[in-house]
Amino acid sequence: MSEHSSGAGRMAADTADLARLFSTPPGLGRLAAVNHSVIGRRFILVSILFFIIGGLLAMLLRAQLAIPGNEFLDADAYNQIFTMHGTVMMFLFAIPLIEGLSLYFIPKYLGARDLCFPRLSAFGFWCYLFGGLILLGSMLAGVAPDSGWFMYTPLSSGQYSPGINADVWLIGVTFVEVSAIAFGIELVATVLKVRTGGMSLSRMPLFGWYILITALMMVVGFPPLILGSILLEIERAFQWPFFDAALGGDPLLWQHLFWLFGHPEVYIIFLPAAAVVSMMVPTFARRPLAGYNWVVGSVVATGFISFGLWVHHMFTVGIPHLALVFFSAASMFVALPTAIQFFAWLTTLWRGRPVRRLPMLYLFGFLFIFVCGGLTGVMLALVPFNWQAHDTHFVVAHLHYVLIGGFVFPLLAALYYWLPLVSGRRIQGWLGSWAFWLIFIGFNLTFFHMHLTGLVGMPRRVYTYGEGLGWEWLNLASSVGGFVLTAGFAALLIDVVVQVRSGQRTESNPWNAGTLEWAMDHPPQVYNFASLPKVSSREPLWDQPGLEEELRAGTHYLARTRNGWQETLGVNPISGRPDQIILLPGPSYLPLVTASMLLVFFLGFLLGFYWISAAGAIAALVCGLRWAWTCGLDRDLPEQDAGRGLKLPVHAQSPDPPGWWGTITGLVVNGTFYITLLFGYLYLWAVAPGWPPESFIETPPLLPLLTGLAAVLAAGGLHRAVIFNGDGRTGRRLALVASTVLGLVTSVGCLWQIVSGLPAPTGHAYAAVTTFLLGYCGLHGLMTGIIAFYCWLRIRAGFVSALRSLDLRVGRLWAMYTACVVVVSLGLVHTLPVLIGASG
Amino acid sequence: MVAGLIPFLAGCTDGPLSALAPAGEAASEIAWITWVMMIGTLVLMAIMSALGLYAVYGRTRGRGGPSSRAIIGWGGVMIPALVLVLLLVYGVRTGDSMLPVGEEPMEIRVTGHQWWWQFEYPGADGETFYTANELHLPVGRPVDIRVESADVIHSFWVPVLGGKVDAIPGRSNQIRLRPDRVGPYRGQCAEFCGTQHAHMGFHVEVHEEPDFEDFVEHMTGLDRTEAGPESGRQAFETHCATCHSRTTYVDGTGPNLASLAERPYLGAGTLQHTEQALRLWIGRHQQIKPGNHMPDHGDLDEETVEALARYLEAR
Repeated sequence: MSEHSSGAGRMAADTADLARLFSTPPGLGRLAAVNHSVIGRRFILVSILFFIIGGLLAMLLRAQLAIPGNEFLDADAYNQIFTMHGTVMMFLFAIPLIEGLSLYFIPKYLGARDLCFPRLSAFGFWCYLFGGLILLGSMLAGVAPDSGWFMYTPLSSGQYSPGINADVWLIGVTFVEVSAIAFGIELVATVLKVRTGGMSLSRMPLFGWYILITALMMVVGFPPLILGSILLEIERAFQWPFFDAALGGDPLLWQHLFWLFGHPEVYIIFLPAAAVVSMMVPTFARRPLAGYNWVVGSVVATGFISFGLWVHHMFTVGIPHLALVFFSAASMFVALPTAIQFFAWLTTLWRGRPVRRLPMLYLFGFLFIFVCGGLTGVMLALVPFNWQAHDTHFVVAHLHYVLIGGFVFPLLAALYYWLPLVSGRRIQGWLGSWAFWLIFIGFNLTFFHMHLTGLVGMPRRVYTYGEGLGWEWLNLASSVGGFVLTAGFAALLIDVVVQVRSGQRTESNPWNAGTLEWAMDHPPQVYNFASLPKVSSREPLWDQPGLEEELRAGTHYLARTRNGWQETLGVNPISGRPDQIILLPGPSYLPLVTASMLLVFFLGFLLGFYWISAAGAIAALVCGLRWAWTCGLDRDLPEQDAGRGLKLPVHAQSPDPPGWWGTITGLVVNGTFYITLLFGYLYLWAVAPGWPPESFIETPPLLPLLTGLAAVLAAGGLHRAVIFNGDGRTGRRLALVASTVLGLVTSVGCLWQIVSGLPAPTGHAYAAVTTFLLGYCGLHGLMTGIIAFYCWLRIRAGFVSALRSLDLRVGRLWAMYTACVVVVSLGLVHTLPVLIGASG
Repeated sequence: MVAGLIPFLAGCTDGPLSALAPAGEAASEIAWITWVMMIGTLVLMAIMSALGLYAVYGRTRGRGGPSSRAIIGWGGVMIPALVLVLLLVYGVRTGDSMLPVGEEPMEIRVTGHQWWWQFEYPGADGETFYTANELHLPVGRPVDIRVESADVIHSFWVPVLGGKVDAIPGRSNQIRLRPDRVGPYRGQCAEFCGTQHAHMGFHVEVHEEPDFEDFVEHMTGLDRTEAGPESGRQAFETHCATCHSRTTYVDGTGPNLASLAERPYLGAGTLQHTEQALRLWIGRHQQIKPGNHMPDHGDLDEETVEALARYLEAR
């Protein structure tokens, strides 16, 4: 296809083969798609559909509130609609759009051909789609969730919401969160491992940094909500009183768990938007971003601080003022990292030679609106002011300034910025600017004076209001503004559709950007790069002239195809030095099948068919193991030529493959879940009313000791297996058999303690939470046994050698984690009643 | 421009639920903070927008001026940090001054129900008395409100007097109010609490001290079981007495109705109390406030409704 100055055909990249290898099969085969561009596009399209649905719901709300005493919607309909508006926008629009954007662009920014776990992101897509359809279906059936998108207990518990509505929320959202977890694992491992040669951390585009931190925040931020949802669903389904104050539970535990997730969530949404701003500003300023290190530092700082301010959603629940001061301070100081980013962008523009193009208009909208939202956020962080403004329309205005200003506007800018790349069409301005002004004016007309609506006393979530309270004009203006805003979005949608369908072909790199995604064809090929670039700067297209032609000519890495492999580079996470060739999986139905089994699990639970649900869970586990079985190699291979004189091992033979990083990230998810569970356990002991319970756990002391010992020895067995395997000694299979048995013993030991030692979990939150904790340990013991047996099978089938040891190392890590949680949990469960129970 | 906005805004800030038209100590302090911060926000928005425009359109660009590091350091860290520290100190001091500590004033217990409020007062004889959806306070002295819930989470809020505090099952929260202006005001549940969250208001009446004493005197031991027509009393016994009480010293699962005749609103602030409205409410409350926990009384004949209304209005 391409010619190279050296003239030798041998040098050209195998673009035809690459296109064939990376392509998605036609027809029904599309269901097997795993390519990151395809999955990313699907995420983006579905999330935009949900945005339209969420927007239409908002129109219904504004129509209802336009005049006092309106009878357009009744209370039930209004409550379902506002709950669904929030839920759809947060969980089905914002997060999935970020996921889609990152899945689509991260490999393109990092100079890779795909993500490291393409099937995992396909799996995430199906989970997202199924969960979203469950929520959407409930709305069509008129049984949508109606307790508000933060589902406060006890309003959302069985006694006060007996219908299926709340279950739909808990199960639908949890299903969608599975995709967020999958995304977090995928992106942490990809950004750290799957970059092109020479892209050290300090040369990584800021987009990579932002998404890395966002993915880490998702990994740590979502488990508390997943835990909370599981506990609440168990309470609703089986009457275990985790949140019931009459039986030793505490409704505030839900609020802590929800906002432990809920506040980081705001930054999870904002950071990727700031990421695209950080990519556009240098392009339009025509110079590199000022203060790269400052921005990286501020993104990391945001990630940390955002986990320390969840209580600012709870300033009115009666927490001592002194404790509130800490959260008030944290809530204010989280503004600093954002201020740093703003001044970095402003400095870049000021120092550069800005060109004023359409995306810049949207960036101005972002600047104005988001600064306002940030400042009202500082206002709300002030405790006494919060006591007045909390739960009023002031907060509604604030959060829309933050989310529309800080998320939607940057992404609209990004939409126009990347449209030439993704569609291959040139951008023409006028309708886009009209759309901007409609959106900008409509937005402010809806929300600016809504701050005042709240301060003159209008609470949020009221389906109607009386005359004479001074709210009439404020509400009418907001409703009119809402319709202008909608007209703006409609204009934008038309503009984009027209341009994509009938725009002129764009020239290459029309904005003259410096980052790698513009080195691809417009629209990009399925394999992204014909050869993977060796980069030596943060803006390779500015600093390495002729790079695009070199890539097409195949003079960089991995230009050749062989063995029908889909290849991309793996690098040392810090230095960016290539250290392996990652072989990517092709199209597969496994993600769809596994997600379908999960659908059986979730739907079974939702409808109360618990045996079907259990069957779905087992089937999903079997699918997962089958999936794991397809990874790895059954023989040792020599090092392979990677281009530019480099010889590299394939990833299955690397000591540091992406799977290892994925495993660690997955365990961080699990560990966060566990730590949150411990928090809940101790919180109930310390804070909940109605403690101590009538009786504590009673088992023979030998039982927990033996259970803990079995867990430790199971880990020891897997450790021996890894050592024997590395030394080429015999005995690894025997060690695995021992671990299998010991894992099962651990599991039985935990179960036995539940059955023989604990009162019924429905009687008191103590018994409920202790049962849950021991159940968690028992499940981990069981998984240790299964994994050890799986490793034994893998050895038998020849997938394990001294070079190919990942299976065993993953098993060992899991068993060690299990040993830790079993020992800590059993220690707490059996010593706390003695230490505190006796004195209480 | 900013200065011109204030009187305009002040015109929009009246209203029985306005936090910006304070009638109590805490609310006044918070209203003051609010104005300071709102003006500060407008000024900072103007500055940031101006900086944004200057960065793109400004003529003096390029080399000169402070270093990038200095701009980011001062603009992004030092100046905002200073402002935030000052604001934080101010906020903490103000918040501290509102806490219910020190003196031990009269305490009124409020219990949030789906979707109405019960108030429990210390009476003149040392016994307590109950009333519903009406809060009476003396002007000029502090009162502690103890806030609890009978079912889900509610939030007690009288914007003209002070901030809000949540009513949470299993907990007991406290807020101190000190009205400084006599008058009728309004309170409202602020935390979403189910179907009729919108109709969970209450009437607030701030009295001069002697009037307040009279109110307490009047309510203590008030028993209207025998007041009004006999037919009304019988209908009440049949249809209402399971949940409602006509004496102020007995509470019930529904709002106490002993002093209904004196109340300006019906159905937790849903309707203004007129003769006609009361009759409408008795017969058609499920249409007016759908989903409320009172059984539907649509089947009551006109005569019974009339008898009930007369009985309830008897003083």
